[in-house]
Amino acid sequence: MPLKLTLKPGETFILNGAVVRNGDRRGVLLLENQARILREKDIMQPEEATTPVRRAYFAIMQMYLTGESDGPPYDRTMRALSDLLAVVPAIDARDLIAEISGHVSAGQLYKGLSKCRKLIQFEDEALPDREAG
Amino acid sequence: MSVRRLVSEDCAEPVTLADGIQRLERGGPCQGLQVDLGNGNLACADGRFGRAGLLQRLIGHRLILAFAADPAPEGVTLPPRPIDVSEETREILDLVRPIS
Repeated sequence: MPLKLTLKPGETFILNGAVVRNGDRRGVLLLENQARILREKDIMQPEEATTPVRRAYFAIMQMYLTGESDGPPYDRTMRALSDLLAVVPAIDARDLIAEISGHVSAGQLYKGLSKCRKLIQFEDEALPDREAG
Repeated sequence: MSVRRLVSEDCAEPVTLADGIQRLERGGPCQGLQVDLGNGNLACADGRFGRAGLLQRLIGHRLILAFAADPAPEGVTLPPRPIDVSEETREILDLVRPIS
């Protein structure tokens, strides 16, 4: 089943490492087969990776963007996840981090990113005034 | 048909994480080896680094599972590690920035 993407004017997305920008009208795209796609709202710039959760998201996103599932990008992600475990005491969150590791280690990077977004949401709700660090 | 699907079809019954690590560390074949990481996640030697990459991922995941099983000390803060951005990622992300 194709993936339907509705794009706002000027909206950007990344498709298998290529940056694609929509024109000045609303657009609809159908993606007929599996590809690495990341929408603008899910793209994180390095300067936005300001907390351990965001640094983990950024590390997984790097793997997803470049299509690398092992080697140095994998090591970076595991370092970010272990740093995250060092500061997260909540058992539910620790279980979720272990799940994320399973997805990443199996090359299911989009699933890993989705779960990491849940952690970011949790962080935003629990610690709205938390200083970056 | 994706590479992942082709690999999966050739794979035998999945083995456990501990078995997968043991087989690879003993020099066993990685062709057709499928390792069950739980939650429907199966790992194969389908990355750029092949067999070494699979072993790297299995050991990495085992380490994270061990860390996750230990309770975290309360009130820990870590100095932030510098963000390591690959050249390829930087190139992509720079193109995403809004046109000024």
